[in-house]
Amino acid sequence: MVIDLQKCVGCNSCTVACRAEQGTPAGVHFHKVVKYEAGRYPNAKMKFLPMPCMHCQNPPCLKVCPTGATYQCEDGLVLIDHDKCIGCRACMVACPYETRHFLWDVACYFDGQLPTPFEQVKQDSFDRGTVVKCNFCVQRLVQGRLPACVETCPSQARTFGDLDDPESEASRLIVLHRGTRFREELGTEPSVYYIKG
Amino acid sequence: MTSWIIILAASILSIIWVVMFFRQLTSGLTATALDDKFTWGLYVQGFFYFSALAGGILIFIALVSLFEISTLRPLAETAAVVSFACLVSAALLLGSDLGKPFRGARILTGKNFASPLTWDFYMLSICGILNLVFLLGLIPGKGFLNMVWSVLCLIAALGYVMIHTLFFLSRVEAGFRSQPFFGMDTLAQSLWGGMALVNLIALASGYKTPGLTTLLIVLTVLALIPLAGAKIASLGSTNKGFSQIKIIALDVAVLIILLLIRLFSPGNPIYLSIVSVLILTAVFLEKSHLIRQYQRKPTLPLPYSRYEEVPDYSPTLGEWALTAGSVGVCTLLISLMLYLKMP
Amino acid sequence: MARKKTDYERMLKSIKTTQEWFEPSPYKWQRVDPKEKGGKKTLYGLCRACMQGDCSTLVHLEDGVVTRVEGNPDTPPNYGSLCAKGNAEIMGLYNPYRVKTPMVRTNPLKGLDVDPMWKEVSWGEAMDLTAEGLKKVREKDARGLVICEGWGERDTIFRQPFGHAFGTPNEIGSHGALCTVHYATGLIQSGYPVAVVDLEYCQYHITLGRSLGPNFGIVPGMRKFSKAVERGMKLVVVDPRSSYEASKGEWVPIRPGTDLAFLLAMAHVILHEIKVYDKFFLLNRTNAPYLIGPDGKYVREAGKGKPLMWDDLENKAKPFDAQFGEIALQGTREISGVTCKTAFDMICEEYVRYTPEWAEEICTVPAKTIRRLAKEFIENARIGSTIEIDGFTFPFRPASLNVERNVTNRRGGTYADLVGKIINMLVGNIEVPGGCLSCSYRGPIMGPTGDGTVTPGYEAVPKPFKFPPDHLSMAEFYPHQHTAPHLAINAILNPEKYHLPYRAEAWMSVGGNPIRQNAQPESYVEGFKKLSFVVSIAYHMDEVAILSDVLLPEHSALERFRVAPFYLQHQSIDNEVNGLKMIQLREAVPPLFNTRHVDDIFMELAERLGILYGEGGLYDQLNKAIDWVDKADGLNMNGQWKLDVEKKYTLEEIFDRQIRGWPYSDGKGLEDLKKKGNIQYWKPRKEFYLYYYFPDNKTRHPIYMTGLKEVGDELRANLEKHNIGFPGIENMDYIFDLYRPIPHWVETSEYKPPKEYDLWAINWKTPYIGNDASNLTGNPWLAEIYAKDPWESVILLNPVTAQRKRLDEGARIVVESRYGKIEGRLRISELFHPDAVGVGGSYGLGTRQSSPLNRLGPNFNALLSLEDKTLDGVSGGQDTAPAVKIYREEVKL
Repeated sequence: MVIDLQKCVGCNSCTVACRAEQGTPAGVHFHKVVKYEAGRYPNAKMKFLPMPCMHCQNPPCLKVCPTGATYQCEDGLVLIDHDKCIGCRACMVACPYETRHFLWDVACYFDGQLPTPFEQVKQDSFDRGTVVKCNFCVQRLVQGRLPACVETCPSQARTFGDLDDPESEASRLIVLHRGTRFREELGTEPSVYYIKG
Repeated sequence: MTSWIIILAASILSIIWVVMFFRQLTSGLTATALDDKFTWGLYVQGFFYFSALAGGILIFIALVSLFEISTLRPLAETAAVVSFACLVSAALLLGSDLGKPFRGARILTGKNFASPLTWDFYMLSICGILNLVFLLGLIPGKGFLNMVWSVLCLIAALGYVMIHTLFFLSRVEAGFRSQPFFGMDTLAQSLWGGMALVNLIALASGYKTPGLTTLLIVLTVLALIPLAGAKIASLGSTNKGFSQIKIIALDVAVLIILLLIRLFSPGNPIYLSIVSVLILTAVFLEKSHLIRQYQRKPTLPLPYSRYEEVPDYSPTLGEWALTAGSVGVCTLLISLMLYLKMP
Repeated sequence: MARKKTDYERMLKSIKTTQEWFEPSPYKWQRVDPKEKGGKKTLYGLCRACMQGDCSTLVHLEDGVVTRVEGNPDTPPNYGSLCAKGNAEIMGLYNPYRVKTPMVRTNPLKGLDVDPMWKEVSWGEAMDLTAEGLKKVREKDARGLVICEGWGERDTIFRQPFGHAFGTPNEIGSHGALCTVHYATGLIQSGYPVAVVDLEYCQYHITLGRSLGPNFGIVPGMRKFSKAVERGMKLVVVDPRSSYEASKGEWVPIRPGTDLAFLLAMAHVILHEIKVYDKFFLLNRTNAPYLIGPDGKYVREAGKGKPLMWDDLENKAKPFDAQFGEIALQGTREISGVTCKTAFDMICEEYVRYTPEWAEEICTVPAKTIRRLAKEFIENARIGSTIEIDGFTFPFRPASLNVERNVTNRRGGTYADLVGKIINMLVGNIEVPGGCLSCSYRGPIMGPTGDGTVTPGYEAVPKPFKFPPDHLSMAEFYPHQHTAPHLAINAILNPEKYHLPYRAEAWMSVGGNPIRQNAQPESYVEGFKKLSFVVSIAYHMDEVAILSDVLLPEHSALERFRVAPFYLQHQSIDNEVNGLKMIQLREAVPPLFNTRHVDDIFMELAERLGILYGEGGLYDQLNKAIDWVDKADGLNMNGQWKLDVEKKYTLEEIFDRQIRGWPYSDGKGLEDLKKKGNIQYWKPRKEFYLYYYFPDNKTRHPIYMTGLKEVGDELRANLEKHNIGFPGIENMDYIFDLYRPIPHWVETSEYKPPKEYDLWAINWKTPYIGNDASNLTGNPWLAEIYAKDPWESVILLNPVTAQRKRLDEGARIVVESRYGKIEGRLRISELFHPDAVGVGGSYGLGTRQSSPLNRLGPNFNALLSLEDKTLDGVSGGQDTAPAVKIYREEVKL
């Protein structure tokens, strides 16, 4: 994935679209946008860093998972097999991007209320005591669609494509704008590149 | 009389453990003070602690067996009971920490040998089996089997202790915060705590152990070196390393006390017990520091992380209760096994 | 033994401990209908989470439950993208705090924290009660009914016709008092509601007090903005806050409420220092060369004919539409013994004193910066250049300046808007590619009046004077008002002061909530208690609902069947929708609760009141109604498709007729619309720029605002005729100083306040909460995110100011204006001018029975004022930057 930080305006559409698509329980967001300030008055600006799971090519989470629940498929996506997860949370300690969530509880959205029909339908797949994370909307990818965060972005700041194919839009953007990756020095080889940031 | 009090207390604590564990099964880990930013807490700390102690004791036992130091053999046999109980406690604490405790055996089927946790599991299991074998008296005082057992035990215990250095801690931050002192740190802490516990056992069973004080002094120095090194290496960072200073201060105090004991009243059981308890506390605190220092990290580097909250962790009453409960189970097991061993 | 709380839970906990809230028992949702199990359905949707309300969506249902609302790919205006609010609409549907069935109050006591002790009734009973209550009012005096509309309900076609059929002139919008931004565009360009930037071509844009899209998360605005920024457009944001948009361009910090000074100084620099402007435009497309007499009026041919201009070549005055050798832009002349000057000269004279140094004192923008911006503006405007679009040659001016509510909303705000227009006119960018475009009907509306200037449109057309006044909102005294709930509540509280000949008896709320979203909520509650009957077509238990006598529950946004015309967007425009005419469909999700469509409610109420059929009835009024924004291009009842006023119709039938009568539907009807969810028609792009219809010198934009002067003079004459003063104002000059033909410096009510009020509070819309549609503040998906957002639901302060006041990050502080006070948590941020106190979004207040999230956060509106002397005399707009003082909250012992 390539995210254009000049186009990103921090609206969090991606975060909410992810929540809507995946139906994650309250308190769990597969995607986050870190917002911060840069500079001092009067040259201060807002800055934003959208962070899905980086789907690292050298993922620390995969290495530490004792049961092999975290695996990498041949496309390069890092996924979790929820039946194997024992909830040891070693992957969460290992991940430098804080992208994983442990389901301490499958809580409902309206505090003090019962689960809404949306939650009743969507949250069967969430098992308390396991770890969950962004899967690049793999269920949409197999239908030939884009991840929800990419499709919904009103600023069209996100591009999704095959990084192995030099002709793909994503690869071209990375080369053209010298894309960088967050915390590259850790050697995790993330698949999410940032340009113009 | 005192033994009955201890057994009673241990039984109560064990019941508490059972109750807390089942409470956790029903309500999930929301009963703890952990959250996504701070995922490993008292339970994992306890797991590290008990397995470190067990590792230290096993190394002691293995060395005693390997070098066939017959004078220390009875002490080693008693110590083996304690180390087995520690291993069981460690296992209970780890089980309490898992989101899905009853799936724990999947670590065997996972076969992910890049993961330090898998190696942990295997090593600890081997340690446990070897320990049990020793406990059951199946290992003679000398001979080939003895040597084989000792070597295996040494490898398993050392392997368990060092595994975090080799695999986990350096990879977690992939060079970001790991330092070359970690291997030494875990080994030193393990031996130091183990020997302090052995000392307590010796004192409790009226064993005379000359030279133990000197050994403890050496081990204290050994434990201090990586701590001091790590502190010096991190002097430049703006992280609040205050807890590190406190631990170093405690260790230095222990060193001074040991030196004083050695010089003025060697073999004094009261002073030695006190200093052993201090050592055990110091090891506990060091494990706590180990857990915390990796988890208090914001996503962005300073100064951009101004708006991110630094996560804090203070274990709930329930967590303390469960941990204490596992100590109780440990004690109960020790009492039971000692009772069975001595007719 | 609970685990650590998330930010969201901590927020909720803090409300529950500090405010009264009744603990409801959890609502027991029905289990999924077994008949629906395994079923998958997709409906065409039309988002309604923000003011625009035009994003095409697809609503996916699984097992009969809405599981996803996403953008409809390839469909304008959003082409598959959708913002956070749109994605979160599902929680507006499955909201347990909704009003689920008709209810009647049994507790006569009213208050925001008083339990009405609701009794659930049937629809029949509720409608009977409502009809009875309204009938009483109609018999006494139909004007006694107030219909309060707002952004909460924008899916009705019957609301306005109902008001007309009932006979009340009092349809009041709850939202517009803080957004009086329409006069200038109506006067200069005959447009509505505002002027926007042409993001297709603009290279340099200065924006004040508004958003181009990203600041409050408007999808089409964000789409266009990101493309423009990529293209290299330079954006200058003059604002007390470094916002999302300012972070993509240049931020020029300015003291709150002082934009008029900045704009006057910019105009001064262009007129007196740079002296480069679009002379052709001024001579041929404005009334700048018109000769003005000493009385401030046009000098006319033979005293009453056409206005005159001076021909420098023939050295004589001629009517403006005569043939000229060389029109004189400047110069003082004598005509029949009367000294007259050109309008341009008069403006230049007036603006001599507005130097950048003078402005710097007032607004803190350095004089150097003002000069630089003016210079860059002129340079980028490329005066004299042209562009060809669809074979037609337009002037090309890729620089523009737009202002909106945070500039216009205070005394003198209309002037500020007009000065902005003057700056635009100096480079000649009105209604041409790259320039300043209005966003309403595209057609020949900018045509000249008899005096040769643009025919004023929309709110620049004054409402006629009548005494005693008919309108509760004092439209007779504020003839260019937008909506005025604040004036209405003043009139309810003090009818004699406002010369009201009747009393307001009933209030019917249709999506409008002025209690929370206007000012001084206590006064509103007082006013409501004086009414004898309050009925609310309610979505959720908001402040108006809890004060109501009858609640008629309506559908949530997803459940409302709707066919809507596409309006141009209010933030910015580009070729993605330039020229598009479209009708969009929202297929309704089956309703969850015992709610009804608002238009069905209106039809039934009208029937019970006997005003549904016949001449002057609801159907007849709908037949006569013309779309306010898009005029003939909107969905109206045209020709043979008008309703038979004696027959009953369903909403579907009415929409079908509207579609068939639409000028661009080509004979299609509702069934055709249902196939793709929209019917599009693309007009040629050249017809989009209004210059096309009146090019060259065919019309003249007023740069000398005679229209303003005339209305002011007439109003003054009317007041004197009836021997009354201006209601609520001691000295009439205070008002009429705002009706002068050349916008000049005036002081706001918050200018130079008492010494301890040394800061000004400011507000802004956020990407999470555009307005009150679907109760977004109470949406838990959005709440979880805004709990973590550093600049939401907190009080923000510049670090230097915080240090000066000795306040630390995280302290609980009180912000107090002369009209109200609020409290909240302090956050220190570099993004704010040292004189500004930032309280963003739309949080707080709430009621005892609302969603707990509605009680969260500082309620900025409580700081604002209803007082007449704080308003802008022309538009009636309230001041959005009150002078405040801040101090630490006292800890309650």
